[in-house]
Amino acid sequence: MAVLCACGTGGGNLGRPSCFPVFDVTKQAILVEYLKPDGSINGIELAGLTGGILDQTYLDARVKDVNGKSRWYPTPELKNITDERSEDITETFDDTSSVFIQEGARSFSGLIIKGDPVLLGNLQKWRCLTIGVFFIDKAGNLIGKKTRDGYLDPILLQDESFSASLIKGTDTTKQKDSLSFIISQLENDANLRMIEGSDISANLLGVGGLVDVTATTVSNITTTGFDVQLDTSFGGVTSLIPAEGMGLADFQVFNNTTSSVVTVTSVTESTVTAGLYTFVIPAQTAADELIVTNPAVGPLSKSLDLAQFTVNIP
Amino acid sequence: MENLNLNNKIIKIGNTEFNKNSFEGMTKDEFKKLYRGKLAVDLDDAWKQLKPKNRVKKSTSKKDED
Repeated sequence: MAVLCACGTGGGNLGRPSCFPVFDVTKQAILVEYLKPDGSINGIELAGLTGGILDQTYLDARVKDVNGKSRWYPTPELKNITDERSEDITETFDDTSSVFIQEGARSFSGLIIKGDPVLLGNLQKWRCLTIGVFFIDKAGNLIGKKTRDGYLDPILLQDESFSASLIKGTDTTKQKDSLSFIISQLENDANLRMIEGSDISANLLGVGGLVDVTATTVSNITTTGFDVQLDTSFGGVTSLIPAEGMGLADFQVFNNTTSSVVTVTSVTESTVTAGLYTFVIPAQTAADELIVTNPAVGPLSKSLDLAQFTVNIP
Repeated sequence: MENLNLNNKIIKIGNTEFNKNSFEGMTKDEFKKLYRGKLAVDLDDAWKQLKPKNRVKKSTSKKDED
């Protein structure tokens, strides 16, 4: 970002308090869509923090937001972080002197240990989006930028700079996903700010993102219920890791034929087959189409993000 | 869409989470027919828990009535 010259006011003061916090090494990144659907920046409204504290309720509301456009997507822990600016761009003259033109781009990279192709695929989905990022450092500080009053905003990434790849294990190394991006040239390091860890009561450091859940098979469909096997995307192709621990509050059933919400009577998680759920619902009409989704109102109660599936009443 | 805040309506019996409101007007026979073979718990016991109002006894204590 171009730095405006303060010709009218002189340079900035260079004194510092005797004690002040600084950023520590980054441990996690939180990816967000930079703009919310209403066009505003997907930032943290500081007045929205209870007593100025980022508590667990606030964190859950962001990480488990049912709206994927405003949700926070924390990465697993990152290793071997590099977060550096390239050399300044200068113009050099025949007398070998040079003048500053602009700062070099800030590049970030990190490794996700035990990164796998499923996570890689989800990272790759970010590539075409306008991405913002918050950083969580080792001290539990949440780092963003402060360019508008009352907000800590995510840092804008350079469009199309986001890249992720799989690094397979070797005889001496573990499999990893690598992650890299470039900070937008519109950003200025001088605007970086943080919510200090001492003002964060939530379990921020180590926060996990949501896990995708899909319906593998829907069976035993009647007018009053159905069974569904819910699995995560992880595991072997014949041994997907089941989505366990879901309950009534984790689902919404919508009758797409009558355009009405179906109040589920009960959900039973099988004690025999992990991830197998039996739904009992009020009697529906034959040939109706039901759509099962996350609940319409969040935050989600679990770290599981259900992809909608359809049940056709026989 | 309707806002289904279920938190205060859910009762968990065994491995099943029930929406308590769904049993208003349902008879025990209807319940047992609906859940036959679907629960790992005794249906009579489950019904008792889902219909707590049926088990509330009026206090006979003179003191309580005052």
